[in-house]
Amino acid sequence: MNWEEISYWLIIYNHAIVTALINSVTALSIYFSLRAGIFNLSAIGFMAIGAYTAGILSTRLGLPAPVGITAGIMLALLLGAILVYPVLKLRGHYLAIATLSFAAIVQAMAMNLDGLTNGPSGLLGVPAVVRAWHVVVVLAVLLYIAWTLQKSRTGRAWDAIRTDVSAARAMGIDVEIYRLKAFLISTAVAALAGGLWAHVNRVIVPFEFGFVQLTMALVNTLLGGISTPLGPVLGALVVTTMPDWLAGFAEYREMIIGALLVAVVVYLPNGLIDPLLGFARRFGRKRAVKEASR
Amino acid sequence: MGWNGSTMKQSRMRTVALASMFAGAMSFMSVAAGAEEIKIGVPLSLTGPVAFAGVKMRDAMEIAFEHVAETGMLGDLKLVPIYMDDQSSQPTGINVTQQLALRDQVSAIVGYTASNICQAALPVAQELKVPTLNGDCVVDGLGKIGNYVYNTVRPSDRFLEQLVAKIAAGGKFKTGAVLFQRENPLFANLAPVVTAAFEKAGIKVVATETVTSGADADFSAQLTNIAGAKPDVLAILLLGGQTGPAFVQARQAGLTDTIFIGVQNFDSDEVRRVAGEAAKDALYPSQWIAESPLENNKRFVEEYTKRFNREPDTFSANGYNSVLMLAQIIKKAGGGDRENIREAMETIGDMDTIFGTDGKTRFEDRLVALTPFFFEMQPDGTVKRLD
Amino acid sequence: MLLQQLLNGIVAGSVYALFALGFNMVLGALNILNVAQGAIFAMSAFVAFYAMKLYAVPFVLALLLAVIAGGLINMILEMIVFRPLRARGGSPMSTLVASIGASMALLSVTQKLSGSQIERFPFNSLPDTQWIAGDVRVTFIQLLVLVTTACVLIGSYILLNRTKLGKAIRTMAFNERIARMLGIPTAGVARWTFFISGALGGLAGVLLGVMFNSVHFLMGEAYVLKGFAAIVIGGFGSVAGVVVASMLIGLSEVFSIMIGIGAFKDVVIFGILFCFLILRPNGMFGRDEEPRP
Repeated sequence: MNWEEISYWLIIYNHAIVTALINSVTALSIYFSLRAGIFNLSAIGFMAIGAYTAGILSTRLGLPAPVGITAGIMLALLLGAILVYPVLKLRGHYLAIATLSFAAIVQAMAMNLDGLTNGPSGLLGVPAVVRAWHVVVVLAVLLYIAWTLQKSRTGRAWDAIRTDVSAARAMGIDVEIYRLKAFLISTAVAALAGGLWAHVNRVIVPFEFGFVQLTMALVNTLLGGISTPLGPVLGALVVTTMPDWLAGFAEYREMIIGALLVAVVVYLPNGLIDPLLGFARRFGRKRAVKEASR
Repeated sequence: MGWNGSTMKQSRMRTVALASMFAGAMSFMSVAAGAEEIKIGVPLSLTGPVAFAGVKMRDAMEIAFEHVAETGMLGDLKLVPIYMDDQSSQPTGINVTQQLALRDQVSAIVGYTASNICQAALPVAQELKVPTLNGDCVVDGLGKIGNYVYNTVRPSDRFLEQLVAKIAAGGKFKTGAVLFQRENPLFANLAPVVTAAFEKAGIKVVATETVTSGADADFSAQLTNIAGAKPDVLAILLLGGQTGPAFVQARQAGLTDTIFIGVQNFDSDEVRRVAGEAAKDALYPSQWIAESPLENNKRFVEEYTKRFNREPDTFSANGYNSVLMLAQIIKKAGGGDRENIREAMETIGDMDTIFGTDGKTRFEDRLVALTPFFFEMQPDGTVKRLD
Repeated sequence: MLLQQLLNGIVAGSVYALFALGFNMVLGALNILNVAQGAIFAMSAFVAFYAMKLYAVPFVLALLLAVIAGGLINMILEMIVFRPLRARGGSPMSTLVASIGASMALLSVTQKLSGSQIERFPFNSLPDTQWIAGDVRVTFIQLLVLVTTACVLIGSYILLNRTKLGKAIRTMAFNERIARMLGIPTAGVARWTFFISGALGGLAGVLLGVMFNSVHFLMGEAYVLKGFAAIVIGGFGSVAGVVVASMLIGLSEVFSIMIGIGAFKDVVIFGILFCFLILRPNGMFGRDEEPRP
């Protein structure tokens, strides 16, 4: 496997790789909320906000990508902070519906505020400056943050809240603050994904931020499972590249994903990654035993 | 707890690299065997919301590739189509374009279904220097993407303007209205064009209503509004699947004598089936008609009807036509070299097409030059050609 | 014209109500938000369509077939997806996600079988007549939809309040553990609830397919979100609430179009939804209790 072959492969599949990586970022956004037990479906809405902000700032004002993307994150956080208070009081289905309608409103706005977003024709000519390695770096940083959080007090608080809210409250955990944290982190990460998306796809249309895309993002997150931050990333990578490795069955992709999702939710509540990790652990243990018995 | 995600990536990379080397070896062998195989990338929307158009394109294009082989017009050259699905999604459209260009090393690309995918993917094809024929997207600006991208269809704005001028000539129409689909840039851009054309022709625009999405099927509220303004003519700019129901609902809302005008998609199987009598007197411009007596068209329609049990519509015709034109370009280029093909696209003069009255066209500003027909729909499902 | 628009709004509202009622049943009784309702809606419409097209089945019979098909498919979903899920705990999130997966799979199957085509029920499936009274025009099918919704409303009331099954459903909706303790066969009740819900979806699918002259595998998706809105605004579990909320949604849409902000009609509805969620999450007629966490 020499360097030339690898780099050739990377060039061919460049867009698929970058898309898969950005989908991983989006999946992580959903992960943070799910981790804290919040069924937050607003990711695609904030992604749209991040994408359009980055797009508008770079095409209308000629600002460099990092500025646009950061601005997108700031704007998303602002909106998220306003949104979060009423929304976090809700539970279960209500929360899901509320966040879902937020995403629908954002899409409708993007479609109709022609002056700002150029409506259905889309924002054209966004400079494609984001490369795969940029996203890899971003992903690495996010994974590091996710990992650290998982082990920290925040992570433990989230686990407690996710398992049983009343018990968590009884233990003295300030449930509201931790949920707020999770929600806002999700918001920021989603907007980041959106900003990156804009500078990869060159054209931003409202059509790309709808229910279908939200479903796929959810699928990515859940197939991998949320027991570790790797789950959503793996799920995103696997699902996004599915048409490529499914080849002949590509037309059945949606059927397969749907069936897989059902199977995973019912029988593998921790996602696909758990059994894989379990296997890896057992393999590691076997090796250790082998070494020890030498 | 180290993360070995790279292990998964590496093994997948290995498999694909091996596969592509194998494929390369195979194609080398078949070249050596005599007939030169020219790979053609065909990206279409085969799943997702635009699938209803993409699937029809693919069906017609399959027939077209077969016809090209049967007539032997390319001699020793054999066109090998590689179909890929862009899932009606932009990122996938770009991805598919890259793969066709880089992994499959196609000599040319023909296809694409939806405008937002065209807008995103065609610039990529241009960058990768793959000669590309857009077969279906009619949004503005596709002729300006670059010297590798040509279009075998053209936007309907000029057609609509001509139609409006035509009908206004009699002075019969005083008021007009527009109903268009907001979500689709094609229609969102045509709406102001039609409005301007109305104004220019002295027809006062008394109502403009929008339909949000391509999935909407209930236009009663919008049509009631429009009916209240009593327009003489109504421009209906909706997807084919919505146009039929819109005709019916418009009549039901009280627009019994209004003349409907629209674009090519009035000419689809869907509309005729669904609208029935409600389509009486509707007018539209089209570059193609199923009944056209051109040899090429007759062959296409016959085979399509035989195979799929229904008459072809605009999408199928667009698909068939794009392959037909591609074949002529490849013939001029004499082979599968991308640069030769690009040059052929630039220098080829007249081409055969299934569009138009005389079946000939040429590229102007990288769009096909066409004079549209004007048609009037009849209550029994047929169309009458106007001059 | 105002009267006509009012009528349009109420008809649209009835359309949403027919869809939302199926949704609402399963949600109220089993606390499951079944997104697959949209897929079942479309599938059943196609069952009726193909029955008529390929086997020349008369319309009424085709409608019946669709209703039964919808019920059966939904029931099968319950058995292979939701029953095992609920047996393992089944949080609202996991059931919603499972239903999304089921929806994807069903939609894909429908797409494959229908070839992504947009179809129309044959002409004269239902009389084309239209009655005109001054400024107002009503078609036969619009009237049919109104009448059907009224019948379903009455039927639901009778079912829930006068039959054994209905009482069982209401007890389960109140508290499943208590229902089981009272000896109610919750598994059977769940199955029947899904059947009825699917049947309602099938009914809605065919009627709407005829009314809008359009049958397409994605036809149900637009209704899912509006169905959510209807349920929240009307109050989880309340039949009357859902119907009233659906009317509200239909009327607000028409009103938005009337005053010229038609492009934002969805935003208006979601805005209303939002207000309800914040101020009165139980909706208009929901039970006055803490929404289940």
